[in-house]
Amino acid sequence: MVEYMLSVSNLNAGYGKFHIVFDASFNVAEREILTVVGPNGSGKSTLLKALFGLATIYSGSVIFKGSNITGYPPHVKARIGLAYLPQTDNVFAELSVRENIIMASYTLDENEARDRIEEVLSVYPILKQRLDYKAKSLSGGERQILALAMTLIRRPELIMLDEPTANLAPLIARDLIKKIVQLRDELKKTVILVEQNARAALEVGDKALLMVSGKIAYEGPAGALLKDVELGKRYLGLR
Amino acid sequence: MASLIARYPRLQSLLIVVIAAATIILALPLLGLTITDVFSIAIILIVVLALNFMAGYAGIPNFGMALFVYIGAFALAGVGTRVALALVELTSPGFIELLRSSYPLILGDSSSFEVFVRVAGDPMVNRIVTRKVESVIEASSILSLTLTLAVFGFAIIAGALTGVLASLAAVRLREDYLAIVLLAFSELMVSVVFDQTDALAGGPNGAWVVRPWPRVGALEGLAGLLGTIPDVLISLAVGLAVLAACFIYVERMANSPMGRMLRAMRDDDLTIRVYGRDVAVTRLKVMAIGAAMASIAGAIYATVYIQVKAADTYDRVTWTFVPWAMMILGGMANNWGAVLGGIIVYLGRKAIYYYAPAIASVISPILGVEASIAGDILRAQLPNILVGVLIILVLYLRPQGIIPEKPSKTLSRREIEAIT
Amino acid sequence: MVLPSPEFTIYSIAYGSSLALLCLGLTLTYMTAKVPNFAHGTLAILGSAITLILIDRVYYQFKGEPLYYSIYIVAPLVAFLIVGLTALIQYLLILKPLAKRGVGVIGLMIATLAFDVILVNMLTMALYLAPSAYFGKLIGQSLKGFDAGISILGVVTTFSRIVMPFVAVALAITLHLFLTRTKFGIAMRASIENPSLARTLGIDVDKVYMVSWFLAGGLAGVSGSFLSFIIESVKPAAGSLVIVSIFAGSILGGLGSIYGALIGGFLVGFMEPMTTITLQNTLTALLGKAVIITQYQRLFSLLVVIVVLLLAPQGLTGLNYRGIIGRARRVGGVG
Repeated sequence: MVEYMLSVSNLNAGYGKFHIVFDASFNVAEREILTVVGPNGSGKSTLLKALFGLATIYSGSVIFKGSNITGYPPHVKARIGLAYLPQTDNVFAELSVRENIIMASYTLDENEARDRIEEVLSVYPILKQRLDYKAKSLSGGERQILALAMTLIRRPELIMLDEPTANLAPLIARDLIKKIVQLRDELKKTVILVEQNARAALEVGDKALLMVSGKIAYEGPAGALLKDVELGKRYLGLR
Repeated sequence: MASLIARYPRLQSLLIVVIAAATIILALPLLGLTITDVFSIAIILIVVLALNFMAGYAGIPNFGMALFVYIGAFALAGVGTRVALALVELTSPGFIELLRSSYPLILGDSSSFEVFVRVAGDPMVNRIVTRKVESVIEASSILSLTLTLAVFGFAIIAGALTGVLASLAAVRLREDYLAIVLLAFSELMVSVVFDQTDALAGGPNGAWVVRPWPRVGALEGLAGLLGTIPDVLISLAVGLAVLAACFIYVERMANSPMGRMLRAMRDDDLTIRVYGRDVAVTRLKVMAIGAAMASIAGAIYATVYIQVKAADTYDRVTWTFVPWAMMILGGMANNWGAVLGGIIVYLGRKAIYYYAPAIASVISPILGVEASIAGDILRAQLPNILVGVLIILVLYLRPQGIIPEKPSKTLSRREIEAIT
Repeated sequence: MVLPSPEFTIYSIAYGSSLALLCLGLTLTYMTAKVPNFAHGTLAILGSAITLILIDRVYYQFKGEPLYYSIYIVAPLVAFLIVGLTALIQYLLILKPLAKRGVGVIGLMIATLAFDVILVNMLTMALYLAPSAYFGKLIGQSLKGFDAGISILGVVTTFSRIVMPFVAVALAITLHLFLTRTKFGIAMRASIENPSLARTLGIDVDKVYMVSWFLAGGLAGVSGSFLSFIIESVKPAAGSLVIVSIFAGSILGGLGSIYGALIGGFLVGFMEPMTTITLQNTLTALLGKAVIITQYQRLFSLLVVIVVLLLAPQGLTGLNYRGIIGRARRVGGVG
């Protein structure tokens, strides 16, 4: 049996009385980009939040590297190698860039934190020049890079990104997608990428999920979904 | 029985009322309840209904109810006494002169204007004059009717105005600011402005009021039978009539388009942001109507509890906090619930009051204090502590109260926020 | 205009300093629980009551001796701990479970009011029933006679009035360093701004909020301990009026910034007695007969609440200073 990085089976999740994700089952292998696409309100974001413990899981299981982490609270999941990058408000606007990075290394001990911060700043040198600025003074692209850097500091193995390119100018969005590919190819991370911009995301994905009304309508290679004219037209606005 | 209730939902409400009424009647002798207790329940229920209108339906966190009730009492203590004296002086000129000659030491060198100020502002003058004026007023049905109209007219208008003024600063802001402003305004008006200014209505000493009711000889037999006086029976009748009117008004309003708008406004912050101006105007209207209702209740209350002391009698715990507890226990935005909660909390407090000496006799040897002192302290503090605990428990265990709001609502704000 | 005496000015500075600490605490709890704590005034009175009890049981014996001065350290410290714990209990036992059950803002506010009523009545009961060594009965006692006198540059005042401002400044600086220089302090600011992001980064937000409530209560205790020497008498019901000034200072400070709260609290606390006494002295001089208006002093706080909410609901910190300065310059014809 193949050991997956993440293995989800029969997951039902939502918020309180509002059941949103129905019976989701899928696997993510190590060093793979799983792209999750689907129309607005199809439950993509809720799926990510449920995986990270921010939405309620009613039934089903989430297995991370062979151990069952279904009921773990978010701050524990953050400590065992998962990272989640929310779509909005993903940096502390009132804190300086330096303080944001310190917060991202909150769970690490001092020496480790110093090394990791050095490391991340060398990967994203743009942040080095902005260390003492408040995060709210950064541009949209810089903010997303800071957010990405913050998720990397704890060296997570599995990174979940919720629409990272939303509200970015096309050129900057393309640059960010490149950085996501870099996560897999150079930093050897596993990525779950939820995206509204289906084409760009499917192009870089190894595997894809198509979600429609809270259910998984397609699970398979990303390239195949990109070429599936019928599904693409109906749900993703692809031509 | 159960199927009968299911078929006729109204029957359920009726059943609750019957049970509640039976409880009161059964509890009356047990706790030593009197006709004035029934009167007090009627008054506090008017206040609870007004609060339910403002807080339950419209979502205005009125933490300043005590002020609006006091304004009604002031209509008698500060305004009514003076109007009564004027009426007596107008119909039988020379009355003030007569007073002056009868009490040369107290009133001898006061001008007529000063007599009018001191009749409510100076405890000694107030004590002497009010009873004399009252005996003239109650002898003439025209005078007593005029005084009644003046007093209640003032209570309604001043109550409504105070409601508007108290909320004006925060009417466009979120609930928490509104709550702060209403509490601050009420607290300072009652325990600083009215309580520290003798000229208004006696300051900390308070003022006795002139009861506006006519003398009804026919009631004397009944009053004697019930161990009370005719004036109290009139107050009770007026109180019950106003209670019924308020109930019908709030109930009708709740089921009108206005009621639905109030609830929409309460459940959705966005409404307040988008329709800022309309919401502010609607809130002010609700404040005016609710405050006027509370003010009427205060005016009727003062016809029985005729010594009106601002901070002492119209304190925050009795007139703001306890009505909140009654409403939350019974069920916010449900008038039957508010009534039921009101009766339960009133009787509960009465029962604690009744059993306090027994508790004191047990604990006083342990603490080494005299049983009578411990009893007095328990009587004063224990009911309040238990009402505080009750509120927290109800919020935790059954936030919708005994009788929940009728379901017709859509998603609440919290639920919508959770999704987006 | 007749200006207040130096003695009175020192009193006002001390009162302003204690109100600054109270507003700081209220704002801190408001930022974490998103609900104004209506019991905050009574928390301060609890600090006063603790000081009263310490004097009644122990310190009255040392009156006039050098050892007596340790009351100015011991009482605030004990009050800090006990009142801090009380506020923590309020958060853990009442607000947190209720918020978790989905109770809305109005429900949470009435719950803090309920806690206030419970606290006031328990404290009243305790002060009536607790045995008293010196006073005979504890309720309604004045501690003015227990405040050591001191004379500085010919101005006769009391020890608590001199110490209070220094304590407030020291606490404010400590808190500032804590919030900007320590990891836990930064985590506190982060958790206040965006609790869900803080959680995703592995910060235990609940712990951070617990510390906030303990600190807020502790500061109220320190403040109340010093206030006990200034106020006319220590009685539990006084909290219901103090709370109005606390709200005034906090709203002036914007209810979203601890620095705003410090400034707003000091301004309201300093200006309230100063304005009242100046007005009183001026009216007396103008009319040629004694006019007394100090009993209306608290109306100043109400006025601040109303004016700030009508003109600038965001408070001092929400104002656009560049805009105002810019406009002033344009009006002045410069630039």
